[in-house]
Amino acid sequence: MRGEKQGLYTGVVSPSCELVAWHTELRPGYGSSIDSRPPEELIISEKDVLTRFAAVHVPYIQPGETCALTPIALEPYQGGWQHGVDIYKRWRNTWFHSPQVPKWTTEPHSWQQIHINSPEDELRIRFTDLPKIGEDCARHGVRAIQLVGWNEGGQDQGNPSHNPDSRLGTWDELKEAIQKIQAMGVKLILFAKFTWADRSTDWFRKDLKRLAIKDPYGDYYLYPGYQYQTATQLLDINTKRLIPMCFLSEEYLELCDKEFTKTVELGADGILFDECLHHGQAYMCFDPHHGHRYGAMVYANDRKLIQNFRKITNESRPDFLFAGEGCYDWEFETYHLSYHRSENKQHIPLSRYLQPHIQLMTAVNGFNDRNMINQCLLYRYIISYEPYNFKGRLDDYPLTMAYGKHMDALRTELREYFWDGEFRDTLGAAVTCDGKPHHPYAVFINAKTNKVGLVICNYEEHLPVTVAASQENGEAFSRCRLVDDPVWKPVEDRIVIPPQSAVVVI
Amino acid sequence: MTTFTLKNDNLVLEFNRVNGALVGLRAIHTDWKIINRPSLGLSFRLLLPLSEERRNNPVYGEKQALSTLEVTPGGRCATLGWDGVTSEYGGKHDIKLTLNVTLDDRQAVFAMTVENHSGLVVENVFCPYLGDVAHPPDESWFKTFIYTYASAQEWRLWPQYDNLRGGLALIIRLSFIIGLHLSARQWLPSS
Repeated sequence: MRGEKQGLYTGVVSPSCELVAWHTELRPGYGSSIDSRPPEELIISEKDVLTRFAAVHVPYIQPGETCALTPIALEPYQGGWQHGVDIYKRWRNTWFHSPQVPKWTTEPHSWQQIHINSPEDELRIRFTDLPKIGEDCARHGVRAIQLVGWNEGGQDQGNPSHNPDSRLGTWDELKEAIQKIQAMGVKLILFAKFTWADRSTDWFRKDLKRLAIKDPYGDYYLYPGYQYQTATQLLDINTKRLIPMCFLSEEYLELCDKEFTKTVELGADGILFDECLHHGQAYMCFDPHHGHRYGAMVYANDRKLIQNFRKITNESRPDFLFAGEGCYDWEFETYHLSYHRSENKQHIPLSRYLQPHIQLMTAVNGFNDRNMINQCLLYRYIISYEPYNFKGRLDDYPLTMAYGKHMDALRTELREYFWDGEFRDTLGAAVTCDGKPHHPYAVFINAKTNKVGLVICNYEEHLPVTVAASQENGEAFSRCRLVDDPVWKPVEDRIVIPPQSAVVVI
Repeated sequence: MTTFTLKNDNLVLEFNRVNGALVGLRAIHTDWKIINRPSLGLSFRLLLPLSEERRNNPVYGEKQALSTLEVTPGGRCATLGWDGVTSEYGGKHDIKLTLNVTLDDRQAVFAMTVENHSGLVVENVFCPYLGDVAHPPDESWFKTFIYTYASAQEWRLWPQYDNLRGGLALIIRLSFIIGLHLSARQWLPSS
């Protein structure tokens, strides 16, 4: 909980798998509900006006059990949110271990995400045609492909099957396409999903149902699913409903191992486990036949799933990539890279601040998406090129490709600041416009010299902005340049940034 | 009200000696009185369903008298004990609670152990439980800041309050914070 200048940090101080919820409650209620305003007085209508706060533990302690709840720390701090997060980082760094990451992901690089089939059966690209996508990537210097919808039924259908969809080609045709793409110097990462089972399949109805997460009434939870292409599905008439599956069931984990092994046998360079970050509405499982306690936290085996997979690849494929989506902090003990979507000018780069050097990737799907490219530079996000919402070719959006290449070239040239350096969000420097704080900008600490480098963006669509930049330590900046203008300029009192542009200052 | 105090270089906590409620909390460096109305102090809360006919059977910590209390001479650690509890609708229950509050140089850590010798399930426990969190003085807003999907979710507490549930329905807004299985919810009371 925080104001602008100080706050009260509350956090767990044990890496526990117990469900702990944060709870606030305004009593007795709004003064004026039309604008969500609490009463201004301390007592209204003889009732105390107050805001309660609690850490709510959800342990389901059975008769005869003793339970030590997850310890909770309170610590007041001064400064912005970064200073509150620093308290967490200080504790987390006492026990957290990062995995060894495939070397190629640690270099400045970019990806393309391409979807080839959906639950509405558009059957977009056959396996034998996939090398054309690889050629695109090789020509544009894009390092990796995330291939989506290759499995039976396409994206978000047929889960958790990881068999190639026979309508797109054979197993061998997919394997051969992967080899051809790899021969071009492009990595091929297969989209994977273990979170759900597709409720509409016989597999679920006749068998997998028993391994689904169950609520206290013995019923499975239901995730509403995703809609694709046709009006029928966009109206949610025939959406494939997705059922959260129980990772606490060893039988389900073994099934996942078998499904995962197919991606290894196909020769992929890795998987990207989409939606590894959650289990829908399900937090706890109450099924008495899964081999776990009644009321067990279903996130507890999120890391074990990947640890099991790694046992499969450790000897034969030690460089196999385990990527996820929106990985929460603890998952980075097992995942190498995390993909997310962050198309928001007010995006708060919390994961980046938490771990300055982990590999984070974001979607860039606009046809002149300069500001998302600028965001990638700001927050050290890998570009995932996704024309037509990841259903197009790289040459479909030349403006975005050209600007993205300029940006990646710049941060490769200045990697000691903007790739290998430490991201500090806005700490250590101030950027103002007309005397007021400017947004957005980011501070990086050079990995070799400890000098400060800045990225300053102008998200405005049409107007330039004039800013002033200064360092807290009093040192001066010497030069700056735009992403798409190679000419360095001396830093004077003011820096002019054209619309939808970014400048680096060192 | 008789109280005892725990203190380090960063914060001061004051507890009611009778029921263990946290009745004062202050940030030393800024003098922010986070809990400033002792009468609103709380200690813990349990949910102890009696049956499917009476699920909402709470145990309010502020109504439970402490059985034991130990405070270390340096004022950095206290152990509070309740040898049994009384719920709102189920009478007395053989549930023993032990709360250790330990301060290091910067923070206070609340660690509770529940020994359930009753025939009921202890579904959830509120701990620590702050009875009234005052916003810092000289601030124009006060809000929560919680991890969500590579970013952060902020909900307003003051001068406006974002109600995620409340009224007739109980809502849960879960968001996993910085790596651990933490969540958030925020509501207005339904009664």
